[in-house]
Amino acid sequence: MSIIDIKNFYWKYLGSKDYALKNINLKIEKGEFIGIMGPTGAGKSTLCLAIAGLIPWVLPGEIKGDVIIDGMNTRKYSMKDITKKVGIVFQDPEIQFIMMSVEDEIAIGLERMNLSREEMIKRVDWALDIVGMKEYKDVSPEELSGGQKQRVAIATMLAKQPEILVLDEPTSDLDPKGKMEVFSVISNLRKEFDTTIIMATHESEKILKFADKIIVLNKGNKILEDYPEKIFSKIDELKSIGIRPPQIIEVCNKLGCGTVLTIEEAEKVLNKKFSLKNKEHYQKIDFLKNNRKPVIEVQNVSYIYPNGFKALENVNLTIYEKDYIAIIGQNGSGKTTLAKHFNGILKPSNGRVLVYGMDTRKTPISEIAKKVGYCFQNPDHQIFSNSVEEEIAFGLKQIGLSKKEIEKKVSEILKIVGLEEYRYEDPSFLGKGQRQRLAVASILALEPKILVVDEPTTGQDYAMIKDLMNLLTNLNNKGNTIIIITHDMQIAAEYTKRIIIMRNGRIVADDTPLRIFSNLELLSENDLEAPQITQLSIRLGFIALNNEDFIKIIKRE
Amino acid sequence: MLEDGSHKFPLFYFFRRQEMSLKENITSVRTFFLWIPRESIIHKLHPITKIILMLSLGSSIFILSNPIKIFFILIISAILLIISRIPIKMIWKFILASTGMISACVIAWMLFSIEAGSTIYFEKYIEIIPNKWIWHIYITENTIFKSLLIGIKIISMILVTILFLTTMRDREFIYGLRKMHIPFPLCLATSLTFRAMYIFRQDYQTVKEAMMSRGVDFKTISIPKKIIQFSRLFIPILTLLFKRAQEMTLGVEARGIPLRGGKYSLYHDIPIKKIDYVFILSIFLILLLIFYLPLS
Repeated sequence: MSIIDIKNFYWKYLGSKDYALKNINLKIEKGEFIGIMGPTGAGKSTLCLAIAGLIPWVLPGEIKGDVIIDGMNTRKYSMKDITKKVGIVFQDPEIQFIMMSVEDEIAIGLERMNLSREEMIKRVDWALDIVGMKEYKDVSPEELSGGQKQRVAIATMLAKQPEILVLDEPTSDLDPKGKMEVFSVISNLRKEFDTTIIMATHESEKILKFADKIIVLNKGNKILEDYPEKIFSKIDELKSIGIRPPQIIEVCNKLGCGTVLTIEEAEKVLNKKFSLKNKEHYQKIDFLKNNRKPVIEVQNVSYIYPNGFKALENVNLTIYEKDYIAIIGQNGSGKTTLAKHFNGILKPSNGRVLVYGMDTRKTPISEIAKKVGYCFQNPDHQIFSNSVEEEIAFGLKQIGLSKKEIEKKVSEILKIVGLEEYRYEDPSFLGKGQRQRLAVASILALEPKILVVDEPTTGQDYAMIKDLMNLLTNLNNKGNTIIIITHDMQIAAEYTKRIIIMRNGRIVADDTPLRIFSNLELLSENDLEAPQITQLSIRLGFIALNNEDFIKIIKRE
Repeated sequence: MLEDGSHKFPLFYFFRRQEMSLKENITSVRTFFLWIPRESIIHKLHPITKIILMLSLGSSIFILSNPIKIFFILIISAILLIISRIPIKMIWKFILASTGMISACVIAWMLFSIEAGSTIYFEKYIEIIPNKWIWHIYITENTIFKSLLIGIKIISMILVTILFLTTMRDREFIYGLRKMHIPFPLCLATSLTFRAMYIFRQDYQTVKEAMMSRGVDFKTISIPKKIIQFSRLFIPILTLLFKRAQEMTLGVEARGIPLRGGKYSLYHDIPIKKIDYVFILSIFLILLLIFYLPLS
């Protein structure tokens, strides 16, 4: 008997017009690792919530069909019974914490199971040991980094020893090291306890490595269910619905080498098929050497947060006009703190920041905002108005433009970001990708010469990422300076022209993507990794940062 | 001046400054309260003892109406603070930061209350709205006496609060409540309130920064504009608040923690020691003595 059996399952959220899941049929065996993929809004989270019993017990809506967990129909058994079998970890671990210390967080679930004190102590230690967080027992969850929080969230579920662990995009906010940590913890779990794992994710390269089977959802329908290698061989189909296929599979496929899953395998196949000796590096224009005007000068800047945490230490940096920069580094390395100095949101504790020669400590933020736009990671933090039009006009009113000018500007911007048809809509009714574009649009309206975008790709599907990155690239081509903060190495390598690596509040490297991503030692020292395609190209004796360059070099006679 | 804008709210600003100035004293264990790790008897007391201490001292301040008796409570609180080795500087700063509040209460009582007395120090009628609203300022020896009583009550409350917040961690407080058999949903709600306040503070800060990056300068704009801009903050904050509330509900439900019924055990087991009994007994005896002191 399958441990999870979903039969003709439909779910419609209260107040929603359409079903979020339509006629889902699925059987999952004990100990399997199932990946759930699909574009934003495909129904991935809804399926996770249904398996965890939160649908129909907590969320209101209309249900048809059945979800049977180890013989228990989730419509008939209570949450108390279901949670004994299933544990769920959400994308944002923050919302799952209810206690004030890591050990209490894990213990609270065990206390309600009425276990003996000795058993609880044993399980808390064991769960923390498995996720490598034993030394953080007494720490408040607020003090942990994103990756650590996620590991604690997993430990809270592990301690209860559920047979099924559901993870809803658990790695989307994490740096490469954090992502790897989460995947390896889950992999160990399977080996040791035969736990059934169900994970919704956009991480195609990682899921390919770990999952037994992948389910692809689109608009609430299950459109594919197969082994990872078979799923990812359907490259065009995946790309058309907004799923980013692993770079190696895509490249090998385009080069006529069939479906190749690992870097090692790809190296062998490509060496056999092509003559790869004396291939030259694909050389991008070296932007750092160009003589361009400095627009932001960070001079000996240190920053200490009110709680005493030193987030930046003696940072020196010059950003030039037309730069296209990616700031990368681990969670908590100081990337966002540094970027918040660029438009004066934060003022240095020591040193100074000059924006077009203006000292941010002495210049009103309204003046700096005209030059530097800052787009926050979560669009919900920056939408203040009741219509798309008003939202874009908001900043324009602050800088004192006339009604006529505002009207003209709003129309122009809406056209650029492709939101014209939503002009009078309430922003809360837009999808996440559209809200993200609206957030960028409202900043663009101020015509800043410099645009800072914090984590533009988090939780977004491939189509949305591509849309946004193309928009930023166009702006850069028109002369704007673009600075993105990202954990997505593939995006950084593919789109930007300069990479800054941060670690412990300091800049440890500042160079072209080519030099940064070819320095595997530097990346490893900073717990980062090069895109898969770059790793492969290095093994083959050249350097390529994206699929197109790679294919171009291979095919070059 | 702090970059997070907390300087706009004096008391909050004060708390934040405290966090900074006490940096060297705070270990890596952050708490929602203002806990200062010290090797003192008070710190080592059982959470239940600390809660009883705070409740008994706090409620006595409310119940008593004799300034001398309240002064005794103030002395007890001060002694306990000294025993707990909380920096005197911090206590003074707290009282200084609350000076505005204390003065406002004392002055308001003087100006707006009518207390009968044998000596009238000041009396004046001010016609605010002709024939409709006449403000009567009437200050007698009883008005002054009651104003001072309010002042001393507030100072005593501040000392008890400092004692409570600096010697107890939030997690100890929750444990104490549970050990006192306070219904579990109430303990969980208290813990969730601490968590929610932290998340709310983070969201508020980010939304404000997002507004600043769109050109809103909270420092330089006029007060009416400031009010309008602050009201705009509520759109994203309310949206996030509803979303967070829903997410947190999901989080709690997903943990499978039943709120009612069933047996449960406690992970921590902090024993109540002799010193706890001594403290509880002593404080009750002292309070009993103060209550029955023949003072008119």
